[in-house]
Amino acid sequence: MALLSVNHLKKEYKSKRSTQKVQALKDVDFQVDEGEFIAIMGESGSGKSTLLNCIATLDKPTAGHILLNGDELASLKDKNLAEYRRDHLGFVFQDFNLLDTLSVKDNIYLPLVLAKNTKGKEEKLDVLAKQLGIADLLNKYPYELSGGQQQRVAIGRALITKPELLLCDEPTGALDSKNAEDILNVFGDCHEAGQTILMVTHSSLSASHAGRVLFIKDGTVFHQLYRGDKSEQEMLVAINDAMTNMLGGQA
Amino acid sequence: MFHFKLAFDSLRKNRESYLPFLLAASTAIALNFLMQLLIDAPGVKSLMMADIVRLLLVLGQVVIGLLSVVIMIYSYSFLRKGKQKEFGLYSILGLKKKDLLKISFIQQGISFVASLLIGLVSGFVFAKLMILLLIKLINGASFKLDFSIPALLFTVAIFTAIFFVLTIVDGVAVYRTKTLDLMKSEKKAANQPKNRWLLFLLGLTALVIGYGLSLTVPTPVKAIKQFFVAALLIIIATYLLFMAASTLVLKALQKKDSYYYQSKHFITVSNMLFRMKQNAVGLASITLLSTMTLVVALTTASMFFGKSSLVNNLFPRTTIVSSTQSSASNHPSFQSIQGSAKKDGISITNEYDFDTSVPFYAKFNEKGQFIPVPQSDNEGVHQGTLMKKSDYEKLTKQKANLSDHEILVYQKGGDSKDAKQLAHKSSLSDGKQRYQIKDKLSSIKNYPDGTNSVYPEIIIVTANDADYQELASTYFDSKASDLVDEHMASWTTRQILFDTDANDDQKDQFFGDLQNKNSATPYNKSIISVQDKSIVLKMSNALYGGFFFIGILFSLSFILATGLMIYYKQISEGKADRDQFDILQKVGMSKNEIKKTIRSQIVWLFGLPIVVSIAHLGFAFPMIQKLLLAFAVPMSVAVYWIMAITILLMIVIYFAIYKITSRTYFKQVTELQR
Repeated sequence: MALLSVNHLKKEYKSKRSTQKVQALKDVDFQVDEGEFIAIMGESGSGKSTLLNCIATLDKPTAGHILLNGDELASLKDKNLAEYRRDHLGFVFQDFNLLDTLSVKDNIYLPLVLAKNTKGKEEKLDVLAKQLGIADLLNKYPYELSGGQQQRVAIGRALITKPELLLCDEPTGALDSKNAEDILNVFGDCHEAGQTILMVTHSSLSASHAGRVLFIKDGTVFHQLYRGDKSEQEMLVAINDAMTNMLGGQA
Repeated sequence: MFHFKLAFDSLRKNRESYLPFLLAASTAIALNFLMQLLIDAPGVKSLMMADIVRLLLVLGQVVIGLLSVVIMIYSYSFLRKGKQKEFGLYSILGLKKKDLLKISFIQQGISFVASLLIGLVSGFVFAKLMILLLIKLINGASFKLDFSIPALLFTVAIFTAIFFVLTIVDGVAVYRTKTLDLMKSEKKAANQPKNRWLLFLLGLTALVIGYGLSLTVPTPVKAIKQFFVAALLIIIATYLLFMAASTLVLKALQKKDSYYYQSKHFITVSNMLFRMKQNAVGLASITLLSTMTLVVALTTASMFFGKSSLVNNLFPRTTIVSSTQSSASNHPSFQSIQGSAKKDGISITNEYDFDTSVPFYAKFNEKGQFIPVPQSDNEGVHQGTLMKKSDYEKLTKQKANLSDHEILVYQKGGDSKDAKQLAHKSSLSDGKQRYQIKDKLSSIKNYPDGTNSVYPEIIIVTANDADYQELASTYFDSKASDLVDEHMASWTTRQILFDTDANDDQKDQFFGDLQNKNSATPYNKSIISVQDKSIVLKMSNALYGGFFFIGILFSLSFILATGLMIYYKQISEGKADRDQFDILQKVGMSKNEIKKTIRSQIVWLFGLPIVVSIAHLGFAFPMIQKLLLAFAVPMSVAVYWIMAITILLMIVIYFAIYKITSRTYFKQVTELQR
């Protein structure tokens, strides 16, 4: 069975001023298997962020279903949402979203503390810190770190609860190419270690690290591309071709 | 019209900081107008002691005026921050500096007119109420309050000036800032606060010394001298400790894993650490303001409620005629007083009289001897009076069995360190002769007993004339003291006490007659004075009632100022905290947990100043008690009630502000940005 399955997802927004509805997602349908690394690509306004927010339980779909491990997300009660998020999902954001008032160590501990699950936190941190290369930064504060370092810390925070699904929203958007490459390699390592990753991006380079790329346009899955045994370079070319097609179709 | 629309729009968008500013301005105008109206009110002018009351009101006006300026500038600074971003946007959209200035000017105009209207109307209505309170406190007759044009003009003039200053400040700020600066958000990289042991130790030392001074202050005179030192030390200590101690405590908590890594403490502790760094000065100021409120309320209320017991103790009868003469035969006789009374158509009853020596000044030396002091400003000075056994028996209508060299001692205001020396003594030596203390009296019946001397008083009752003469020759020795001379040993003060039913006009006539007799005597050193309970009562009513009234007004405006400060603090931080709680919500903190975290933070920020100021008040209590004694006000049980009620009232008002603030704050931080 698929880890995540998105069935005929539809999301409409009512704008405040008029009664006219804006359709962000028309009919999105796809599955993610355990251990997959999926990138979702699309232009601004294509609905990819809405899709991510729905999967992240930050937003409710208008119609359709999202199942994570067989749990229907839409049926979760509001008060259980936060709990669900911190137990099953990990988040990595474009602008890192670390808390400036917490040290690096405490930022990573945050989800554990919120889940009241602080037993053995030191060992978990130890493993992660080595894996992410931030072992000597643990007692610093976020504002003392570079962007790349901050994003590593954010990944540490997302992974410390061993989430079933890691959701990434433009994780390299605020980084220079060197740091972006590093972070993408970190994701690659995680993926190899068995972590399921769903990444939203509009950067072909980022997407080229994924095992599968979904292209979203006008609220539907327009196209998808499997990596198979392509190298990153070949994948990048393939993605760019697909993007050109997609944009060409628009013109 | 276009500018006007933009100006209005900007105010509406910033209403969370604009409305409190409007409230602050209106309240300030209302309070100032109220003071002006009261100063000019016919009801106040017709008071018996109008001059005292109006002087107090003018003093109050000055303080409230200054406070208004500070509060308005403070709350305006928050409004400006919000406006800055908007002005940046307008500027990018192509509005010139001139246009921005124009918008700013229109906004000032709107605020000025609105707050003036609200302030003047509510000030007038409030004044109508407050004059009822004032006149009632002072026992006046007329409650008349006119709408006074000079009061209006004066108030308008003050606030025109204040608004003018604000406009200039605003204009300069708009003119100087560059467009890009205007757009920049106020993101500041706060550093992790460091432990500051030196500040902590300094603060702790200042606190211990300040509290110590208050707890150990021996006499009312000392209290007046030391009050400012103690207050200054405590002010310094409050600032230093808020800066240093809070960090120390929070860091210690952070080190305790089992405490820190709990969801309910984790965010609170780490947030407070940064917050206390930014807010230490603000919180310390709030603490001092609320301490001031408590102290002012307590002292003025004690004075007001203590005055009647004070006057009753001073006056066992309605009228006291005291006559000081070099020879006992020169005292006016009761018959002659009654004669004058009859002539003026007054009946006098319940009369009695007694003689004492004139006062002398002495202290206990290191040998424990009670000796004359060279000057009155010496440490440990007591005011002494000698009384003969016969007078004592006449007063109390009790036999006193005293043999030679035995005395009775009565001490007033006797809980100071110096005065307590007497409590351990079984005899008293004047340096020449030892007198056995037969009894230490706790009161002398019918003796007019108000403490109106700043020194502790000792009355010595002697067994016979020889002892009296001996003691008098010791204490009225000009070689030992500059304050007396030998002649005074034979002088006596006779106090004649009686009740009269005279009305005010009759009294004027009667007392005048008594004192005229005095001027007719050939002895220029003789003094006759008449004291009347109703006159003293009216005077103390005016003084203490006026004090109390101003105390109430001050407390109200202090509490309001404090509330406003806390409100602005929270709101300005709410904007910055929004991002943080946004992250927390995404990472998996539920709304409920966020609510709890926010609540515990706000409770700390609100609770700390209150708790500390109550502690300050507790430690200041002994000193306030002594200070009140210096004003001849004894501390009664009522004072504890007043204290409890003041604290309760303050907590209630704070709680209301807390509720409003936390609601606005919560709304602010939980609005998720999508």
